Amino acid sequence: MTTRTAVDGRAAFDARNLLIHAALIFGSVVMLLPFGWMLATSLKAPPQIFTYPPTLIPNPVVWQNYVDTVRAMPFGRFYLNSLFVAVSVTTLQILTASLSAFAFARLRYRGREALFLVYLATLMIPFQVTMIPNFILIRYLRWYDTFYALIVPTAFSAFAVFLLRQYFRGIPVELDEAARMDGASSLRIWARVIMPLSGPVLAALTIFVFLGSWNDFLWPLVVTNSNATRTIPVGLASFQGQFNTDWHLLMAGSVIALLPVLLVYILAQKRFVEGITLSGMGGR
Amino acid sequence: MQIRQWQVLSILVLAALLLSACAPVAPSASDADSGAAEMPADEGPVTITWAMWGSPAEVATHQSVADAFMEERPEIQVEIAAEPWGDYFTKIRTLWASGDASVVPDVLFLSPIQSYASEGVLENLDPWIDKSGYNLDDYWPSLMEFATHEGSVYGFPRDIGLEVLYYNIDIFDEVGVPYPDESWTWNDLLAAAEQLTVVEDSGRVSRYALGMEGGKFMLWVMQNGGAPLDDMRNPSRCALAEPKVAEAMQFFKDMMDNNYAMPPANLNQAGGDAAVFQSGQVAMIIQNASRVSAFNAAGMNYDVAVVPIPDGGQRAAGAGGASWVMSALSDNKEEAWTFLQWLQSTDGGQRIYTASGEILPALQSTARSDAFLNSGQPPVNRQAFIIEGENAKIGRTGYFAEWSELNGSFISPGRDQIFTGEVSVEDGLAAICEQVDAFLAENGFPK
Repeated sequence: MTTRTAVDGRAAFDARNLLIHAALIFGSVVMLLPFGWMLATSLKAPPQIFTYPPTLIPNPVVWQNYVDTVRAMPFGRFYLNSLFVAVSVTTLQILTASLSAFAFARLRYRGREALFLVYLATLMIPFQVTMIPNFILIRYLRWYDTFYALIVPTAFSAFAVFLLRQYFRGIPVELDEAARMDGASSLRIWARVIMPLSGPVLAALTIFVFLGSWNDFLWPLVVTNSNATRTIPVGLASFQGQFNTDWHLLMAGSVIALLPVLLVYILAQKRFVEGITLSGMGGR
Repeated sequence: MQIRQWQVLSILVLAALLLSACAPVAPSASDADSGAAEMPADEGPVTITWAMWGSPAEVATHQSVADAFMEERPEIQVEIAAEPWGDYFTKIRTLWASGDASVVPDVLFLSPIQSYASEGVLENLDPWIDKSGYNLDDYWPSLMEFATHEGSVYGFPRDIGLEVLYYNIDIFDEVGVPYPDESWTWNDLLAAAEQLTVVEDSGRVSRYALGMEGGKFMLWVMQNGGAPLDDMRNPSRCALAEPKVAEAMQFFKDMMDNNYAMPPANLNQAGGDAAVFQSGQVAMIIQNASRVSAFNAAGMNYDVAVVPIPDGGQRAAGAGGASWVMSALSDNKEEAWTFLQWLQSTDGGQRIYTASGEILPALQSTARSDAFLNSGQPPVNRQAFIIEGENAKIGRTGYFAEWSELNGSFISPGRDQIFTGEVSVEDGLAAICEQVDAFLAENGFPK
């Protein structure tokens, strides 16, 4: 219906509006149902979870699931660890990626494009291939079971550099030149010209990186060994056993784990939407 | 301008500080080793690391086992490294691949043993058994085969994962079907299933008589005298194209076609056999002892019986169970052996695991002790486990390194095609065998 053109006047416009809204409502129900289901399951007693016909409203509502989940493991510790790691990784990755993206987009030096291509090519290597070499490196540095192992290897990302470089290249180079005429150094141009103009892409990257770090499972599992460094996804995975899965606890834990992600999304979403409108007006 | 640069620099410094804030906070495996050396007294306790998978409840049981051991043997400290089931094996393999003895646990929970033993990462336990006179005769028949590779013992199964028939007493009473017992044959099972199944007018099955995971189909095959391969240690050919196998497959296929048995795909979607049994969507399941604690916690009214066999058939419980092994890289093998031996004794770990209600112990003496037979918890007819244990047989899985690949690539997918009706039983089995034989030839079997 979005392809239909608004030539048939006001009445048709209203009908179309209705259709669009119906479609949007349908879409949002489809999107929200899994979340609703997760919330419902987190409040059900185990025998209720797989009843047929399925029920969405738990009866009785078992708040105890949340208490049990938090008590089953050092949940608060895991939570803080996850927050610390995700915030650190996001901060560092944006810092390193924007600096190198700036170098790839703005500084002129020999072999720049070739270097960028080689760096991009690292995107082609799947994580599983580098996991064991990475692990050996971590052992060599004596970082096993420390936060270094969780943060440092993920503080650099070719994808983030690529994303930012493409965006930086769209910023008029005249702005740099004007700043340089006024005597600004490269670092200052990065900090005062490029970064302030890149709000939308930085917001998008923040969401990507934070989400990726928050959900990361295999690497934290491999490099951590004690509860002092474990993160939420590793903790939640232990509810899925060889023979049984504690769905009610798993879902309660997932609901709690979802909150910061939701918060980051809501906060960054404003910038995100702003950015889309801005770039639309800029005619990019 | 200088102020701006100073700001940028301060961001960098802050980032560096952020990183240094995450200095090592917890003793890692290697720190634990050096920690022991730093003890003021030279003869401080030796620390061994002990890895396993498990849910929080299972890990609590493991911890109580470790605590009981340390109370008895204070000179050995046991440090638990518990991982979630899903990627436990990925992690352990990565640790081994690093070749760094300080991160590899000394004692580990593993399955299957052969693929690890053939990589040379496991300690051959034969010399340790000889030296200490550890008694292997107490294990259920054929069970030690599960942890044996090329004639040598590489691990001790903690439990025997054999199946019994769980039945919902309330449903049996409601329908008026007699409870299953030792005399039941496949025909009795079918007769009961016909009464227990409830099909609505719409054609939807609101209650199946039986729920069984697809992977357990080999139980029927072996009860009927069949086997997947001609030799489960060193096969030369696929044995699934035999009439006995087809008969057993047809038996289960008919149960599904008649709505007596829940198709395995539906069973998975409905949350697994424990979920459908608890919610009353099936009246019986065929499963190992791992379900007991969950059913007891849910207060179910149920009991267990031996699995019905065909006329003239045999009991064919699979002799297998995840095993404790020692890493070949361990720096503390003496202590690890002491722990292993204690773990696998009726007075030690076996009793504690059995009391937790999660397992049928690997040692017959433990299974026949009050800890198992008279625990005061349901199910009442625990003798069913003993009968199945006495008749346990090898052959549910292959005891060679390539078995996982062979089973995962050919037998399981072929089985699913038969169950969903994509191919007939005979054609499906013939197709599986063609692929299996080609695989065996390609990999140089018989070796």
